[in-house]
Amino acid sequence: MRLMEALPHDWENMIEIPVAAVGPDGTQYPGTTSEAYLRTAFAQFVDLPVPLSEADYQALLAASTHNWQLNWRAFREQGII
Amino acid sequence: MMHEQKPITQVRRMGTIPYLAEEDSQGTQVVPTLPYRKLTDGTYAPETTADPPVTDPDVPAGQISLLKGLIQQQNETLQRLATIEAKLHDRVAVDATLTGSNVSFVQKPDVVTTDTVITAGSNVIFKDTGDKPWVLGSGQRRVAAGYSLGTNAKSRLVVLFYSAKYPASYPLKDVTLVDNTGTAAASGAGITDALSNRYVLRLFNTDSVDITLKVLTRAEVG
Repeated sequence: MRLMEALPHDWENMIEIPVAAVGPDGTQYPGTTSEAYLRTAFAQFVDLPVPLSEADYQALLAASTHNWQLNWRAFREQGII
Repeated sequence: MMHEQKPITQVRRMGTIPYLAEEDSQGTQVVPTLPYRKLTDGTYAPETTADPPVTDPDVPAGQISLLKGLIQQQNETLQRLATIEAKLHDRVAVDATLTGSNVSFVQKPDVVTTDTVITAGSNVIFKDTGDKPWVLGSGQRRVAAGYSLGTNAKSRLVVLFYSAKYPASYPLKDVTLVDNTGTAAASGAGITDALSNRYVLRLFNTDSVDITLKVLTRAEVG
């Protein structure tokens, strides 16, 4: 299974992410993103097979914004990627 | 007043004030069309704009000047009254409009009041504290919301309307209130007719970087 397929999708076919926003006190709010955005922002990763190798995982983190790093770490901890 | 004028040969007096009398074709005294000027044959005729100013040996120049001043004051007073009347008319029209539309504006508690970082390319839904859509107040017909973002942020603010039967899953309709495409003062507000009485706000980060949402507010409008 590829990374894109492994990510949880909702009824809109959007991808559910645990960290769509982070409040000033560190509170995390869930939300969604689109496959189109992931294919643009993480083009070299979305078709990689899961689980990702440690090298690919570290490369994914390096290519991510702070909030996206929180999302990828959560997915990694849940065994999704 | 249009009438056939007769030549006037004398200056009359009302008390101590001299005035130039005028009579119509029936000999009835009428309101004079001042000012007059004295003709070379000793009679008087109405002055036109091309005529020289009134001169009469029986009317001191000071009194003519005084009368002109009084007329000027009267004209200015009439002009002020006309202005006041026009303003009153406008005010009545505005009051009638407000009364007729029955506008009510209810500002709701702020949704976000301090910096909140929105993940790049994601969207987050803001709703009631009970994780349900807000319920539009009785008599309210529109939803308004506005936000302020960090400099140059790209974002879109949308309101989602839900049915009462499925208040958590399938929205009936989404309406974009604001669409910021990256400006120094990234903020805005919008208003839309309520398509149902249950709604949430959805904020899209349309940027490729995490953006900062500084304030998010909402209101319900009648």
